[in-house]
Amino acid sequence: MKQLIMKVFIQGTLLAITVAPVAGDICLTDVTEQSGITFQHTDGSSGRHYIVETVTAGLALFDYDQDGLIDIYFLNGSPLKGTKVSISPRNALYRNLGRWRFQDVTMLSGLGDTGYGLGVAVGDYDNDGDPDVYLNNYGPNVLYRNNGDGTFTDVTITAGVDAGHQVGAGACFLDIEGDGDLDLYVANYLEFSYDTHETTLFGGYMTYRAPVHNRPLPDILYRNNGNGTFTDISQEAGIAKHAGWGMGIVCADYDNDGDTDIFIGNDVAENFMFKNNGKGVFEEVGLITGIAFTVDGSPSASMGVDCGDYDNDGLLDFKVTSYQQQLSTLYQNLGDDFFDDVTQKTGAAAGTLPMVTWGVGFVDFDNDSDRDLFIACGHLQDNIDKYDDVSSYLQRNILLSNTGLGTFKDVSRTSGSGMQVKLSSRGVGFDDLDNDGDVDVVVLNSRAKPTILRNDSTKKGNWLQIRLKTRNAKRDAVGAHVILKAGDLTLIDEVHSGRGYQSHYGTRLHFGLGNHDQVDRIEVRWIGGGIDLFEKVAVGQLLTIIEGSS
Amino acid sequence: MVLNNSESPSLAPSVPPKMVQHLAPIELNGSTVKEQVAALREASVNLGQRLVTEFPRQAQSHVLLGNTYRQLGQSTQAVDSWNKALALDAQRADVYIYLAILAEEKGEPEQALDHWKKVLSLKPTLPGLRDSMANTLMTLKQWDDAIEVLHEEMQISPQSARTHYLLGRAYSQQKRFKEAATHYEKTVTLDPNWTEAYYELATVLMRSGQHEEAQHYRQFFSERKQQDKAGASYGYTEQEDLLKAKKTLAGLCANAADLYQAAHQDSIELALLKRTIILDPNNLAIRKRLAARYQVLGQLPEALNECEQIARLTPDDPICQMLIGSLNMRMGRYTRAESAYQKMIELAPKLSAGYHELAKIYLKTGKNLPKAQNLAQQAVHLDPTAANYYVLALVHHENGDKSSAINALKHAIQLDPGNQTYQKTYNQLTSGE
Repeated sequence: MKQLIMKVFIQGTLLAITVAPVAGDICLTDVTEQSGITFQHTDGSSGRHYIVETVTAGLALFDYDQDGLIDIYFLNGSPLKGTKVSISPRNALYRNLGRWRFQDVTMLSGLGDTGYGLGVAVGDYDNDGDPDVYLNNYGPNVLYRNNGDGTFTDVTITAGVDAGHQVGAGACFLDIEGDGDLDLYVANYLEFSYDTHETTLFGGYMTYRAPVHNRPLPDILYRNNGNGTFTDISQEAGIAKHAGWGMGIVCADYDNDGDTDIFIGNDVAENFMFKNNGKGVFEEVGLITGIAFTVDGSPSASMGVDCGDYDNDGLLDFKVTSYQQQLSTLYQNLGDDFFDDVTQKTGAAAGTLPMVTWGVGFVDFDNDSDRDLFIACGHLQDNIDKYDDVSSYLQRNILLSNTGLGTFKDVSRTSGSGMQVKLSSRGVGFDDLDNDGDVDVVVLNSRAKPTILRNDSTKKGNWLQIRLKTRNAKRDAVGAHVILKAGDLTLIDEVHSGRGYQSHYGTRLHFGLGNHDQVDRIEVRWIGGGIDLFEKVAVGQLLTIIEGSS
Repeated sequence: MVLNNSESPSLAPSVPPKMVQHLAPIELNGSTVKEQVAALREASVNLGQRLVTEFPRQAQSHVLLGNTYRQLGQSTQAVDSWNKALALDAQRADVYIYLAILAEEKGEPEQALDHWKKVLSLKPTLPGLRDSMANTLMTLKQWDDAIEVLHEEMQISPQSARTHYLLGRAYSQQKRFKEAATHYEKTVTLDPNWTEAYYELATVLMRSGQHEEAQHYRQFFSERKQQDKAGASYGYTEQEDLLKAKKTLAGLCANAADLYQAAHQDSIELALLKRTIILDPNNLAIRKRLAARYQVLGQLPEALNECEQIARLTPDDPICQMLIGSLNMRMGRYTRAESAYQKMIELAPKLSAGYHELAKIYLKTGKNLPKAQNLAQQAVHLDPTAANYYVLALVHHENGDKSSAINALKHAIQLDPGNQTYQKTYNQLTSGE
């Protein structure tokens, strides 16, 4: 934490004393400069206001080389028509060297895609024990197979997942039918071409047009054939008949029935909740469950989505970020296939009204056993300040502390230097980058350097991290569901692949435990139906659980 | 195109050249839409600043400048101007409303509530005020207070769908679902086109266990939403941006004209009204106001020209034809006046005024007197007022029917016994008997 030198007079003597700035329980410190990360995001723009510029990009936090340290992968834009560059921008992979130092290993790894990056998901699609990477681009998508030696190979064509030349969005790996391999959901945003591109004026300033002018596209669901290839099953799975302006996506078992459902935040239209029948066939239930619209029956300009049990009632709740003058919505899961928009009553959108909000995460930053909310902010209109100063292009991100009483409190101003940064953020990822038992933050900022936030919270509770591995392949068990009990506390979480704003993070589950110094019971429900139970687990460790090991 | 005060659709300007120079023209000649919008925005700020320079002690000038800044998206300057207005006149409830709305948009509900409370103290019976206040209270999670002020609002606006809608929301947040459902039902009864209210009604019915009804309303909502979507116009075009900029400046010009009128600076007032019309040519209210002001100031050709413009925009408006007739009469252009009143009778055959006025023209010109008698009788038939009887009396007299004239005058005097003219005419007619 930065410190201030204050000069005071005591009995006529000038004394210099050091005091900490006013801070709350959570402190996120900006450590970008010391990290060695030099990545600079570009949206490939040249003032022509192509709509795709506004939505790049997500990022991924994952341990690509399996050395126990979480690495960082930034997506990047690329030059759009009319933009000239001498060196092509590319995605960047930074290897975590420990002690907050990162090394650019993009060229070594082969992950330096020069396509127009939008969304990313990480999952071990070939069950060989190491994480592979899928890029959902504007233009052809890319599947990188991890070779297990720190390098990746582009296997898109062989795997059959390039998805054509579309404007992509979020992506997720999930096992739709519990057959032990990871299928792939690819969200699409809208139809775009240079020929039909138009801008508009606002207050005399050229601006990006609303996405409603571009036709929405249906998403794609690929079934993993188990041999390194995929088959597009969007039609038979019930996905293709729904076209929305897809943005963020998270796959999760919202109804606790043991299979993975799919939630998609759609821009300017109702959100989709695809309920899985357990066999990989989906029914869209957004309207009847109450998660399609906000409390007043309006669609929001959904951007990022995440899920987490904010009220510790054993059900996954959902958060959806949105556009300026819309509240970033919190949907409380009431069970029985019903959600309630509790944004207003919980204060889960405090401070978001003048902001455009993007990446989001339910994260227990202070390990007090309830999940706080981090919301990345930044306007998409780069000249908004000139015609509407209620908002601004560069915005502070928002941190809402969970009071533990079912409400949130905006603590952004008192939560460290990292929360004072004003940029135009997009994707954000959360993980324990220094393995010290708390969750740190990485923010991708449009047209700027990223922001790396170290969790320096002082009043922290106990914690436990769990990494879940499948029985045979020992890959990260995407979709596995954990119920943890410590005294009267019950916490749940799931392993997700792809979440937030077109990003990936949090493969290792993190549980803040407050004052509980032991976990009484851990129940793991694996995709496919198996359950493992563990009792009397010590806190303060990263616990790896392999399916069937209890 | 150059918009300035000397532009007038057909008649020569009556604004002195000095005053014309007083308002800077807006140069829009040959420029792109973007440049035109920029010019209009600049002109708006310039006019607003001019108002506070010329009327520094009048709160209204600062309010207008503040509103201009707000419409141009410069809220910091807007607040500064509004605060100056309040320093001059702390009773300006409208300014507190602007401040409250801005605070809401900025995500500052505590400040918004303070402003709403101020409005409440100044205008306690303002319809809809408590709805806005309740909305803010709900943002602050003060549900009980919200419900209390909404019940107060129901006393002021018992048929307000919005009040019931907000009550539905407040009760719903308190998990008082049955009460919420009652108010949402009332909302859609009062305003059946409120699509979103069906959604919320469905939600609270679901929460109160009425699943079948809930599904019905949710389905209904879904169908309506699709219809709304199909009928909606999306996006915002360059031309709309230009129109918005023009309307911003037009609104400011119209309001600025009030200040100059109150200061008896008629030339500038008229110039501003003319500029308003150039910027917003379909604004009938301003055209009527300009015509009326011309009339009051004795600038009859200009008034007539404006009325003729209004008549082109609203060819079915009989009152406009009456004004045209009246102005032509005052200017001695009887043929044109006759034509206008004839048109008025065509447009509004049940209005006695057309017959009355046309009869008066014939009286004045001494032509068509038998026809004038029919007209005057028709006027009395439609509307047996003292004035109509009086004109009938005059027509009878001109047609040599003294007895009928006296009889009509008796009716006029009976209806308006204090009218000296009627009495005097009656005395003249009866003195020779």
